[in-house]
This record gives sequence, structure tokens and C-alpha cells, in this order.
Amino acid sequence: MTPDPARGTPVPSREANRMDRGYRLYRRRASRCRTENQLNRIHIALDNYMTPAEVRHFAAVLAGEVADSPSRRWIATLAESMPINAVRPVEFERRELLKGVTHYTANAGSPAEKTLIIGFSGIHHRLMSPTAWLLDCLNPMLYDVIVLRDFSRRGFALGLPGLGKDLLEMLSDLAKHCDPRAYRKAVSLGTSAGGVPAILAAIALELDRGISLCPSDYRWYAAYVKALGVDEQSYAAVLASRPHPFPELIIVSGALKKDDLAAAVALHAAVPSQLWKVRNCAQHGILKWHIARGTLRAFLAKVLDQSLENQEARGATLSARWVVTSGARSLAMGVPAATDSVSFR
Amino acid sequence: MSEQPPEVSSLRLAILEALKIAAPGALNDEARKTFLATGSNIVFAELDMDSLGEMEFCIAIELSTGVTLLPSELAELASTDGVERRLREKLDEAARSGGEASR
Repeated sequence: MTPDPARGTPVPSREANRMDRGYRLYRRRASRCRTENQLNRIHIALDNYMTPAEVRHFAAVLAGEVADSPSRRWIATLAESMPINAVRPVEFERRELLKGVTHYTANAGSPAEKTLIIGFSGIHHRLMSPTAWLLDCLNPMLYDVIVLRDFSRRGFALGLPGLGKDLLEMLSDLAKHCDPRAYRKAVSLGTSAGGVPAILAAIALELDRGISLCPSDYRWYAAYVKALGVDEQSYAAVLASRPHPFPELIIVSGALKKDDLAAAVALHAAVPSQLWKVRNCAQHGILKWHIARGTLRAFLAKVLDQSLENQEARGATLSARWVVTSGARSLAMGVPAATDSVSFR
Repeated sequence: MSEQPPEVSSLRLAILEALKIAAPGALNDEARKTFLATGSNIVFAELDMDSLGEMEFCIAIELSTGVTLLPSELAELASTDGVERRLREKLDEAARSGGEASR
């Protein structure tokens, strides 16, 4: 709440009003649910969209419900599993640019001082985790996040409604809504079915970095694109192109997840990239695996190759050499030695 | 005498569609075809289905069949055969009572 100078009484901020409206909408929708699955469906959708501030808002309001209320149990679980779960001086706000394009940004800071993360979600319309987990790790003064969701579950092969007819058109059109070049640094981050599009986006948009977590097999993706009637050769051409400077590409897979690893190895073989195998991880949901171990922030800092909280001097990003040596241990960043082996191509 | 392939039930199609959403990487095209063509059984423990996947599976089943299956039931049912059997039971029960299948 912010004080109203005219009356001397607190008035709700625009964002607080928006969260109140969101909560009332949730109550109306939840009251119509006749089955547990219907309520789960709403909760999953909210997990996919909510900001950390919205999670705390819902948790505070729903804390008044009886302890075994499904709504209270859902939000309490989500809030308790947030990596930081603390109020920040400025918070991420959620804006829908288009259907399937969500922009998370604080009403503060200049893009020139921020890193833009363009997220390509997987089949569950999330970046392998509730969006609030990811946002909670990031300083809103230093990061903007766009999450792209393909509700047709076609891995962005046919673009998004209002944003191109295929992935490459979609990327071109996306830049009109949010220009990566306006940012200090721009990174693509794709999970699962969004993994290959993230790599293609990093090259096509000439981003600084492309991160692909447990991507689909590129060969399968190319065949799928072709089956949808899209020219897969244009995708192959992007993958084969070598713009200068070439983005740093990171492909991550659980070391013990054989099918994921095979897909990651195939993609690694197709494009100059680093392949990171996460030791002891047999899960596809690699971000969830990290949250369970309390290492999500360290992992994100490592794949982004920069601090999540503080501005580093321009050009002072960590070197590839550091990544190799960090496989053993990094005390400076507090990064656990979860990335067992790293290979370059 | 040539054997006719078994009729693909709408329930098996619904289960397969739900699996595509719940565990997208777990079944390749060949496995999906085999599932429909031979009536083979898929054991959930062999899939990479996490708690979200289980919820998505049950939501997809409910949307396509109208039958409520809860994530907590999946461990007991253990496989696609178990799910198909339970769905048939609930649908039969609903048909007998003239009520909704979800109860």
C-alpha cells in the first residue's frame, strides 16, 4: 500500500489491485470446480504464471483458510519451496504481450543495465518449474524474463498466434515487441521441448548465450517440423550458420538420464557448444532436481555465467576456462560440483 | 487365416493422448503404435512421470472421458491396463446408476 497524500490514508498500488483482482478471480474459478482434477488444473496454470509477489499475496490471503483446504495446501507448498521467498524493494510484474508471450519485468531499471532471458517453455507451458521459483532467484533490477508458451504443444514449430507462422518468423516478430539488442545482455533459456528452439533462437537472434536444459532430440525435432509442413532446411541452416560473434551455447542433461543425454549429445554434435552432464541426476526435470537440493540459484548463476543479484562490470563475465575447472569445485561462487563433466566442441 | 488387429478402444486412445502430455518423452512413435496395435501394457514406473505429469495425466483423462481419476490412484493402478480397467468400472457403474462417471 502507498499513502494517499490527499487523504493521508494508504491506498492500494496498481499492482496490489491487480493481485486482489487475480485472487478474486481465482476464488470464483475454484468455487466452480467439482473435482480435484479441475482444481489441480487451475493450480498448475497459476504455478506457470505467478510472480513471487503474487505467490506471497495468495499465501497471505489463503493462510486464513482451514489447514486442510486444498487451496491453502497448494499455495503453502509453492511458497515454502521458493528459493528466497522474501520481499524485494522492487518486484517482478507480469504483463501479457500476446497469448503465449508473458513479460516479467519490474517497473524500475533500464534495459541497458539488465539481462533479458527469453524462455522457451516445454510441453507443460513452464520452464521445468513454477515460474515464481525462477523469478525468485533473479534480482528484478537486473533481469527481465519473457516466457514463451506454445499451447498447441508443437515446440514452437508453427510459431505462436500473432507471432509468426514458424519458429524463425516468430523470433523475428518477437524482436519487434521486445528488442534483445536494447539489453545489456540477452540469453535464451529453453527447457525440454523448448530446448532446441532456444538454441536456434540464440543463433538466429545473435544473443549472447543460449541455454538448453534437457532438450528434445534435434533429429526428432527436424522430422517433426518437416511433418508439419515447415521447411526444416531453414532450421538446419540456422544451426549450421556461424554468425560472429557466435553465442555461447550450453546444453545440459542429467548424467544418468540416458535418453536426455543421447539427445543432448546429438545436439552438441550439431553445433559448437558446451555439454554439461549433471552428476547423479537421473531426472528430466533438472530445475526441480536442483530446487530439491537447494542448489537452484547456484545452478542458474552457473548457466547464465553471471551473478543473479549484482551487476558485474561489463565484459567481466566468467570465462569458459572457469566452467571447466568448476566441474571439480568452485568456492568463489559457492557452486556445488554437480556438473560432473563438461565437453566443448 | 489372418488375425484381425484388436479394435482400438476409445479409452486406450484417451490414455495414449494423456500419456503424450504427461510423459512426452517417454514413448516414441513406435511405442505408441505398438500400444494401440497390440494392446500392450505400459507400466508407469517405466515412464518418467513426475507429480506434475501424474496430475496432467488425470486432468487429460477427465477432460476426454469425463471420468475422474485421481493422481493418488495411479500408484495402485500401476499401468495403462490398470487405468483402462478402472475407467471401464467407473463408466459401467455410472451407466448402471444413470449418474456421472466421476463419482
